[in-house]
Amino acid sequence: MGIALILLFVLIALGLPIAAVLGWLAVLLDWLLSPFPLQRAFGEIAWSHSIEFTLIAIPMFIMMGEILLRSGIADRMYNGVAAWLGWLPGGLMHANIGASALFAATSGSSVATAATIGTTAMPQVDRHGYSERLFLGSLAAGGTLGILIPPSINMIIYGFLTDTSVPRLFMAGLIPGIVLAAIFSLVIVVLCIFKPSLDGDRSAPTARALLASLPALAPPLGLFAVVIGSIYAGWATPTESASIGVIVSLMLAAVYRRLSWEMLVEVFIGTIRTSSMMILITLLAFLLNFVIGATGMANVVNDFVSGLNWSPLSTMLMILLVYLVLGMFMDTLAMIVLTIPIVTPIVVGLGYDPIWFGVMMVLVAETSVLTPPIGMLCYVVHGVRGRGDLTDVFIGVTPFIAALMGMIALMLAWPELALWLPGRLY
Amino acid sequence: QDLPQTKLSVIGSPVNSPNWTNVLQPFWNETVPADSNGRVTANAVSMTDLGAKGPELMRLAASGVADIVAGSTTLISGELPENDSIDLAGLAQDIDTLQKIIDAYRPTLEERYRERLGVVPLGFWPTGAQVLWCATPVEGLDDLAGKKVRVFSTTTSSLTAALGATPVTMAFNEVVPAMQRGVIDCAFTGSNSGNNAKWTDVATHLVDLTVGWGVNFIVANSKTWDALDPAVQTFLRDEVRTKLEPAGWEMARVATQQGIWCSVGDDRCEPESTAPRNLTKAGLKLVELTEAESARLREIVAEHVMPEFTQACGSDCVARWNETVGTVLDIQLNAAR
Amino acid sequence: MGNLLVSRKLARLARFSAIGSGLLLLGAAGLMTVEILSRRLFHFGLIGVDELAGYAFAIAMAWGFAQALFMRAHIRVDLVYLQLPAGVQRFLDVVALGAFTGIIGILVTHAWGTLAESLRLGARASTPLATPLWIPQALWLAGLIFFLICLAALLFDLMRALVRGDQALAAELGASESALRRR
Ligand code: NA
Ligand code: NA
Repeated sequence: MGIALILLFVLIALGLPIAAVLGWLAVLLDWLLSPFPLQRAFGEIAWSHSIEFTLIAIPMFIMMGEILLRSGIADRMYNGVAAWLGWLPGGLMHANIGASALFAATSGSSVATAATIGTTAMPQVDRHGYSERLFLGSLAAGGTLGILIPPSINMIIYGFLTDTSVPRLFMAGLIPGIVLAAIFSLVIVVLCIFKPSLDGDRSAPTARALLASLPALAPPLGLFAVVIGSIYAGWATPTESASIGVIVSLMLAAVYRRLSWEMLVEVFIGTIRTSSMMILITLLAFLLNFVIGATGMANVVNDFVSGLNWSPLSTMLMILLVYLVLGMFMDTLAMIVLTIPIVTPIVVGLGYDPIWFGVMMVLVAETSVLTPPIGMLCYVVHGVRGRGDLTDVFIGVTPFIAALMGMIALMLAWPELALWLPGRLY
Repeated sequence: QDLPQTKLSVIGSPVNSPNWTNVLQPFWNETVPADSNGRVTANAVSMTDLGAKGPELMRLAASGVADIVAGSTTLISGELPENDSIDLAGLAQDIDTLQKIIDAYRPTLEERYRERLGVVPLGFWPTGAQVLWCATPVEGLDDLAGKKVRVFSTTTSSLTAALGATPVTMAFNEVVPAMQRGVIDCAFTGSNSGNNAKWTDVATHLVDLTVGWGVNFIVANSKTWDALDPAVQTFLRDEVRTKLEPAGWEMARVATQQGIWCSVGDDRCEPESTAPRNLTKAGLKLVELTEAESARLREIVAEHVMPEFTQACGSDCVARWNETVGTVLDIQLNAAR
Repeated sequence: MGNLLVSRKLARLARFSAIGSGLLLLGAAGLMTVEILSRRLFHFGLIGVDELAGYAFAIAMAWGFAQALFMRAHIRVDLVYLQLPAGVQRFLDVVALGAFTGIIGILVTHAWGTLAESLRLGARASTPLATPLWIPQALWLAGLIFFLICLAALLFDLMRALVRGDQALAAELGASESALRRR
């Protein structure tokens, strides 16, 4: 087990594609540890997971985000949110957080959220004199809300792997998502009060601007109502609601006169690029999980943890610590797919709620896409910025990583933050 | 005499199912080692731990991923039409008839499993009666006309359509919200599994119309099997026939009966009879078919469900069926042309 | 020289197949939406939409893997890689692409076995549609084989560029996304 983990890290660190590493590890473990030719099951397992209904939600939510990105909704929405929040200390940085939170309600991925809001917001940084680092940080941090506020691709994968209800996971993420957005904003306010040099222009809200913002805020809120509402009302499964979301956002794009064949081609290429990459990793991780399950390696970990005889809380803290360290160096998706099938049964055995742990996993994933050296969202924001040094982004997200730690602590202290809403609704 | 030391790898039913916890797991972890004086042992894993879904299990057995595999014939009926022979929708209305059907058909299955699927079948037993749960008043067969019914297989779909209802497909865990909000009126599942999944919260009527039994198979990879010592082969066959199968049949009887009794609030309900997953006592209305309705059901099965089966099965298969199952049930089919 | 690359030609094909995959997914989304609306508004459900959407998903993803490859989207963690000299980077590129080709080759072999078994048994899905499994499985496998061909072609072009000493081309073909951006 230990050797396998070390091998995994070495191969990944050498720059081998993560999908290939997962697949080869499955082949090697089968070869070394199993008296039976587990490999012969690969074709069957790959097929049965390739047609898995739950997972179809992933490309669908990605396609929805791609359409929204190209429909002009984000620009209008950003200005609309700015009209409401621009007066706070930190000005447009609150619009970054608020627009991200709002966009998150229609997007399943944090990369899409950061890219969309980042593209919209970036021109503002020079114009209004904000601290560039903190501005970039707020964009990356805002992006992480994409997977906490429903819908969420990470929650779909978690729900699928652990047999947990995806609709309940979605509901569980809503309040923590709003709280986290508020904490992010609070961090900006506090920093800007104590160090006014970070701040830039502020805009006083006028009745006219507020009123004018409403038509721009309606489409994302409406889309959220359709997608999440149809799940909650029992009309549709998450996969079906994602399909409805695709169709409705196409209609919105048509209303804004952005719909064209060229636009659709860009949407398709963007969707396939991201989702087939994610699905290939997931598929090969399933093969690895099959081998791990069949060779009984999962039991070894389980026995080890129960042999420690730690209290549930200290075990949980240890697990979170391991994840935070892993998350610095590892790709978030690979980390979740690989560890969840082993860790969740342990956690549930300790008496934790699997829904709560799902939200916790998302918080951990959010942290890992911000932390150096491998912080996916920092790369994304840096890419959108197109100049300067990556280090600026990493410095800028530091206060927000602290905020995420605070949120994790809040979740440990009050599990109801996540569990209250699904408890009320189901 | 002592058996040679033998270690087997086994894959079985979903974790938490009565089949796994009460039948397969004790059999492989306790019964077999004890009866062989520790000579025959097994590493038994639930399919859930492997992330397997069910339809692929038979192929895992055939390709030698494990020595012995237990799964559901319903999920692989498309791989071998003979699987449907024993569990056609509406055919066996009680568990004793089912047992007679399986006994009569067992030689055919043994032959076909070996020659077509490359596995040696060791035993068969049901999970429990698949009955009809409705969230709207359904007092007899006629009331089903125009209703939307969730189905799970080819033959339940044709039976539903023949009764004038609309078959609908959806995932098992979507059924409760769908019934609650009127997306569907009725759904088929086991009397025990429906109770476990809290269908009692939304359904109002339980129609004792059995559309199937969820028959399980347990098979050995034929290469592994042929390489086993003959004494071990005999031992395993005997163990399955005298210990595993009876336990499975008994579990199915209890699960079926208690599932119904508890769901309709009968005094004989014992919630802990299917432990570790206890049943909920609820107050659904039990609807039993009249003599006339049972006769009509048989007719519908013969006219609407059988033709598809005879088509898929072929003339030799139909002839075998007539000699075996047909004799038990007193039904003779015409081969499709 | 650039025009003689096998992988360039395949990349154009991959783009077409990605567009096809996108259309397939969009079609599935449309079908599911129609199904929900008809179920809710007209109380009439269509049979087997979920099953068909599953096949569309499998086929669309399999035919999309190649596009992700040519867009360098299959994630490589290049933290250590970026610190290494160009020569070592090229060596690691060959190893990475070789490992990728190998594992997809293994997957294709087993997926082939699955299709062959479905054909031999005349297997149908155990669902109300009773779909003959070989049809979706063959389309899925074809996508995987296309991906394998693209991987092999890219590996071939990369090795040829290295043998000819064309470092710039080799880097363009094999380097990770961020390494390329830094140049
Ligand atoms: Na979201
Ligand atoms: Na990180």
